[in-house]
Amino acid sequence: MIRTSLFALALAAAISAYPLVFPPAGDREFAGTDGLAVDAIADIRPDYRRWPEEPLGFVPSPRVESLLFAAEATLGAGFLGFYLWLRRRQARRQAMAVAADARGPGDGSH
Amino acid sequence: MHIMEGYLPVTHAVAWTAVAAPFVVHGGRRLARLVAERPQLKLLVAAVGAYAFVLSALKLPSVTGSSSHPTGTGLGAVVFGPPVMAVMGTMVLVFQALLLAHGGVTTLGANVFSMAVAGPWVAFGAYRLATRLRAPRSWAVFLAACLGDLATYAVTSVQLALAFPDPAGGFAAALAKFMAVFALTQVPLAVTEGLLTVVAMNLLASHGRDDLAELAALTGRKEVAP
Repeated sequence: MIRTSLFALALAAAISAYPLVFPPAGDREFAGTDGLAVDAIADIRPDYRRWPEEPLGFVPSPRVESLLFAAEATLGAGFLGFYLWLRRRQARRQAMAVAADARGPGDGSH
Repeated sequence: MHIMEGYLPVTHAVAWTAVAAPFVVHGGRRLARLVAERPQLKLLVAAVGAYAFVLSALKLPSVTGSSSHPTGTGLGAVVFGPPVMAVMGTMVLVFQALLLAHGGVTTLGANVFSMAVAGPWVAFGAYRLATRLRAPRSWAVFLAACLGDLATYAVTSVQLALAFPDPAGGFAAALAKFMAVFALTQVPLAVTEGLLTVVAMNLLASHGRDDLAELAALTGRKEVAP
């Protein structure tokens, strides 16, 4: 299982790094597809008027935006790590308690 | 896959909200019952939600020269089933719409339908089918997350093509245009999401084994059992 995981992580890293190491032709600067879809809409319906014209939520500046994205990823990964750590600790304690019980009462060797 | 704020005509925005809402309400009820019956599973619910938060925050470059992000809903769909992910995916989308100006409030219904409903259901279906065909669990999880990711972007393309049919070629030509933006870019990302989800599932299976066993006992779905 660990070998599968390590292989999967290495392959995922390679797939993500590939376009950076070997940039595709053209100067597209890895624009987000959400924005490109907006361009496609403008192409099909040049007369379309945005409704509403401004986003209804908070619009962060580019720097604040990357901060919030990083915070989102960090908090998510942090919680995931916390969950795994907690459950592993509980499983270990349980295993130790079972082992202690198996040695029987009166055995003081803890 | 976010349809940006303002880029759906009013009728479409309302219609997609109406289509997505029942799934989210149903998922909310299912989730409430689940944590009422098995409170210890709250943390696992939060963990699969956290995974969706992480993956949807990762903007990854693609071979097409543009970048996009995975969805992270496949893991939860495999573990808890699609209804729970309708709720978790909606939470991710609300967060991104309100704080990050990604997606939007008016387009939330459409985005919920693609990322929190269609993606998880495709992922779940792929997982059930693969386990029934006796594929190893890693492959089943990989296919589930990968196909769920692709389905999300395919649905977004359909939603946009319905809203903005091409003046000359109609729906089909518009669909081809939006698929050209999303689909090809998404293929390597979907593979990456599949691989990362295999790793996440392996971690859950080893560290969260008791929770998965509890969940399997509750739902009677043997294939999630560790």
